[in-house]
Amino acid sequence: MLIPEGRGRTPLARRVLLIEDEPNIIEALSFILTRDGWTVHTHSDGATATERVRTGRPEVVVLDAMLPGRSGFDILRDLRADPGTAGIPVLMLTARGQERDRDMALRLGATHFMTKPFANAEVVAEVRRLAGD
Amino acid sequence: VTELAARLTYDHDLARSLHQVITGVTAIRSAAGILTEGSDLDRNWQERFLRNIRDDSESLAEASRALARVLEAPGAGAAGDSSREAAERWLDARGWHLPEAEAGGLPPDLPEGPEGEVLAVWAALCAQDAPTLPLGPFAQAAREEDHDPARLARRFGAPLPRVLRRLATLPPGHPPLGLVVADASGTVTLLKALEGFPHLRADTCPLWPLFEAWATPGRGLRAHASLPGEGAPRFLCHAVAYPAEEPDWDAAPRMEATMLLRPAAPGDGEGDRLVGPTCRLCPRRACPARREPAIFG
Repeated sequence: MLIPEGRGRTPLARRVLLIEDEPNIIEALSFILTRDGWTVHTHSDGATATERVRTGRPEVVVLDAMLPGRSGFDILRDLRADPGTAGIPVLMLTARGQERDRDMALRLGATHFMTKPFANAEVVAEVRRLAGD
Repeated sequence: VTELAARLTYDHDLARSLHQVITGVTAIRSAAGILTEGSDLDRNWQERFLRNIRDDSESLAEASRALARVLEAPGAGAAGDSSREAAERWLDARGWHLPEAEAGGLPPDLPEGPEGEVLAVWAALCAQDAPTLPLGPFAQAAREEDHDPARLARRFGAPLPRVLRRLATLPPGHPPLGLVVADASGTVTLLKALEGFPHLRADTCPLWPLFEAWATPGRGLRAHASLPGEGAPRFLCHAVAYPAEEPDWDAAPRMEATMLLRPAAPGDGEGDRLVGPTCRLCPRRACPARREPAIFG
């Protein structure tokens, strides 16, 4: 099934990597971001996510905090420690709005932090903002 | 909420259930947003997201039930608790009627271990109950007396607790009847659940007639109990507290209370005991029996 083409964006689609393990959340986020003009790549395994960012070089990473294999916080720490990925903006998603999670995400270098359940428009706007739109 | 936040750090079950609930809500909110915000959504996508919402709401329903179970059974999780619950599940699977006990015996397939020991005690009690309230005549009389425990107790000259147990363990063909037994500490030692009946295990609401009966041991108590909320379940309860063993000059008798429940039609609420789930989940803000604030709202 083809997701409707994005409107009002540069002809060259830009890449966002979505690291999330819930299939229906992946589908919804992929849909809204694709419609906004992004090429969306998805990855569900925490253990191999860091490598995927290294090789894929996305413009923005949307990273779930709770993943099978490896936590989003650990992945974030690795991304920031590697000069090749340290500068990639990361939008962290967590299912817990606790201050401790937010503090940890920001301390580890998340560019922005968002609590589930998010609103579609917020995610789209934030991904755009992180990409420097 | 501070208490809840503290629990999150160590209570793995709670964290997992909560995570599942939030995941379900997130997926549904996002899919619903897609379905409602754009008018030009392709039909295939519409169907796909509708299907996702349906599936997610199913898992969300299951996840919220799991969450409620965790919240209603806080902390402890004592080993004794789980063996009793395992015993109840075993009885649930057979509708609580034990044909072997009618003849004074034990079911031959009792499970091993603590669960089996709990079941053996219960089955022995049922076997003691059977001779004075023989199944055929008792079932017939129960129908004639509209399953009224006091009338049946008088008709058979049997103690009320025995009649309550006997009613709750009749074979199929009778109205659904729940049963709760508690010891003197208020701990629920046996629970035959009814649909809509909260999982009374720990932190139970003290307003159930089961506990009110302790004020007048030996005297039966009949009262309606309503759960909070519009259209919430209502039950007709018969309860009694009593010595659970024969007298001994040198020791106080071990006391016990038993309550029989049957679903009741909605009433005007007059005289109803306004019960609830455990305080943490109960919306009755101004309840005089409240032990601690609710965590929601």
